[in-house]
Amino acid sequence: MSDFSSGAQLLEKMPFPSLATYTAFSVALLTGAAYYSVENSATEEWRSNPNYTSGIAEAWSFFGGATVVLESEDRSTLFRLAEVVVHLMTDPLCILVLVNMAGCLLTLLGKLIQVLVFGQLRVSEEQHLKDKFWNFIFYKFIFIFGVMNVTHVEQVLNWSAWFALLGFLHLMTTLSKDRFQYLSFSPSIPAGVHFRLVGLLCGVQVTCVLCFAICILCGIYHGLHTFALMVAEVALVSLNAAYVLARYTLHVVDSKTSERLWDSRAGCVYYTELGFELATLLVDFLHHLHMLIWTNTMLSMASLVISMQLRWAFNEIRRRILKHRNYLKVLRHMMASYPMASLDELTKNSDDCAICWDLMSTARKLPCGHLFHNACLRSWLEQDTSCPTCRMTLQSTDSSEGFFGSLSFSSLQVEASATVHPRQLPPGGPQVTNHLFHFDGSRYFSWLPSVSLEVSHSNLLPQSETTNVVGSVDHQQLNRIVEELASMFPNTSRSVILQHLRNSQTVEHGVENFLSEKLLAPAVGLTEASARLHFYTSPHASSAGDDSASGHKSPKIHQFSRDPTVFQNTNLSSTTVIANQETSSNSSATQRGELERPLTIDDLWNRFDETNRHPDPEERMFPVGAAAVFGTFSPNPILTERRRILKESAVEGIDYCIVNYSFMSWIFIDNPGPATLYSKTVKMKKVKRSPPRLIFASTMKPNIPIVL
Amino acid sequence: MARSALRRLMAEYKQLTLNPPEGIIAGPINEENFFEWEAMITGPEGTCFEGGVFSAKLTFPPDYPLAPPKMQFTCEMYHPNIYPDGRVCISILHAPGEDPMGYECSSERWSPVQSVEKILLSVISMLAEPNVESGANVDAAKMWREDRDQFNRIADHLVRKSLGLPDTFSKV
Repeated sequence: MSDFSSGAQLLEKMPFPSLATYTAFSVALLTGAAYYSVENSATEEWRSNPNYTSGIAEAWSFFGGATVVLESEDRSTLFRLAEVVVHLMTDPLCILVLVNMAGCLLTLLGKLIQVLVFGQLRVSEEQHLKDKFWNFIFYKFIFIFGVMNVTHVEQVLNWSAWFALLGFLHLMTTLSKDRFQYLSFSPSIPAGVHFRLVGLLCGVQVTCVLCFAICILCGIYHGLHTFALMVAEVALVSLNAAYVLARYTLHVVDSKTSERLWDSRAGCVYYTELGFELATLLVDFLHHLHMLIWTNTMLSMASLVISMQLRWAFNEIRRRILKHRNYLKVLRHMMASYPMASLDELTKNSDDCAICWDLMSTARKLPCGHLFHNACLRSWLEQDTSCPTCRMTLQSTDSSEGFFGSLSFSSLQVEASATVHPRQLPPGGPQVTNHLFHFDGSRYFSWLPSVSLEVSHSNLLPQSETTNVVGSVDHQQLNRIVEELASMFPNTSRSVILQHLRNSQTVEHGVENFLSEKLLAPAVGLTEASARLHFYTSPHASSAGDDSASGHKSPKIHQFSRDPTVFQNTNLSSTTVIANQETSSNSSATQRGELERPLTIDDLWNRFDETNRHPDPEERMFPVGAAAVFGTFSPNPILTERRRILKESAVEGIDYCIVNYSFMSWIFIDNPGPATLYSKTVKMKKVKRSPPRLIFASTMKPNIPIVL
Repeated sequence: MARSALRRLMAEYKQLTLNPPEGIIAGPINEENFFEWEAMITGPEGTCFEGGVFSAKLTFPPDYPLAPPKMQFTCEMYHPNIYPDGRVCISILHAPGEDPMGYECSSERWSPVQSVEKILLSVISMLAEPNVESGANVDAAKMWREDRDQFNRIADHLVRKSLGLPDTFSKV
């Protein structure tokens, strides 16, 4: 169906009236037609029409039951009404108006269902719906005029009515399918949504049964061909709806049951999908084949379109079958080559499946020793032939035909001795692997070439990640770190620092431990501080080491002292480390005296950023973190709130906004006059399940003293 | 398939929230749809992108983690491995079958053991060390090789822009 999407796009560019306009137009037309009928049916000329007598007789017999009990006056009004109705039904113009009205009602019904079941449509759903709609119209137009060769207006109308109904069902199914796909992306869906969607799908199925009845009725009158053509369409819609329902059921069952019965369920899901997909494609294929054979003229535009559709269906079927063969092959290969891991191995592994990150109660073991869920491994091996973790090439069972049918990647492990000395090899680790890529084109068409390509590469991946243990770091590097730390903290002897590093597992940990210990010490004596700048952290502030260590339950106020050298930091990110370096070096008395004067941004700048890239103070970038604002955001608030706050900042007068992954600061500048350090709490919008963690702001202005 | 993908994405989100790696923030844009994430990464230290905070969008396929997600920067970027429209071109984001640049070894490609965290860390290291051979942005690759000063100026401009700071680029 995708062949004509460009055509659909073209149609889309045309101005299309809104639903309200269309409805108003249709109602106006109907009123006009009714008025015309009332006027016209009274004329003698129309009464002499041969249609009139038979029509009136029919209508009269229809009203017959009611006429007996009515008075004569009522009978005459009723007769008049019958006349009008008959006129409406027989006049060609009026019929067109009525058909239009029916279409309008159907559209309104569709709109109603959309509002009730789906609510606001997403952009992609709307796009998909439009594409489907125009494709459907196009194909049915071809069908009515190209295949059926209808000539009478009446026939056209009958077919149109039929396809309008089918198209309606089709669109509803498509919409349900899209919506289901979207819902499966979300972890929490209210039950009401489920019920409405399933209700709609059941409604579609019931209507399909009714349509089937109509097919039988038409079949009796018009022969087997018509029946087959009609039934195929109904079957397609019904299959689609059933497919969505089946997937829905599986999805709900899967999400409701907590434990994973993956092996059986994955197979079940796979075969359901396979069955439905193949059935749909097969019906589609046969339907088009039937149309092609049944078309009166073999060489027409219509047969061309049908042939294209046929080719598409055929390719899809073949692709699906090839995929299934591949699936079976992988399954057989896995059964034969990779044993299930023993309970012992599972406990020893004690890790989750690397593919789905879930616990493993059963697992398959690859030759390289890595364990995976059966289903996870299978779906990966369907597309690749290497171990997901270590990339070791896995040997295919039969080298003549690989996992990909005739597109075969058979990987051969070659004796490594040719290139690498055998003694250098870690035991069991493959060093050189060959990938053989073979494309046998003649299998498809005789004129396609066959290509083989062999790629050798040495597998130099490390066998296991080496941890950065202090002992393993070379001496020079360690000395450098000690030197650096010693220059930051002149009061601490080098041996103490070295001891620190040696005691912890990794250098990173050592440095971190050392720093947090050093930096927390002065912060304890922080009492005279004026709490002009404070910020709140939630108890969950995860990367704030000192916070979590002291286990605060309530929001905590951090204080910003008059002495800029002492501020508590909650995050040992690189920027704060620079700041803290000053913290300690300023503890000497001489520097303290120097700092009695008010702090300017220049001081901050010189302190916080040694790599002063711009000599001109005007050009200097505010050092990130100079505002001494630290904390941690959980992802959601920062992402959504950042934009909101930035937007509001224009109104609130925030001059600069510094955002970093771990903190956020706003800088207000009073212009003119002395810059004041503002603290401001910006209320964050409540975000579901992840509370905001830190909010505040501060300000600094170049060369103007900050008044605390 | 979407069910297992959703489980995995939720697990990754949980892990990223509980133990956020330095310099990385990532999470679903909207908790209704776990297949579209927004990420923020900081420019690596000691490089021209230092200090910048860059936002990007990650789009996951329904068969994640069998297939890699797509990553696109939503802020302005100028880098040899980032297309002008923001799409990131690194080998870890390419499925094992495809090889758009024709240079990658399959061991560098996507595998289900990779994760959002690893992708973002790779992107950070890509910012520090561009792969000039695979030029997603040929102009940037050329400038990186031949006129590093100009490249650094552009990067500085981008960093300032990402922080919402006044720009000095035009005056330089």
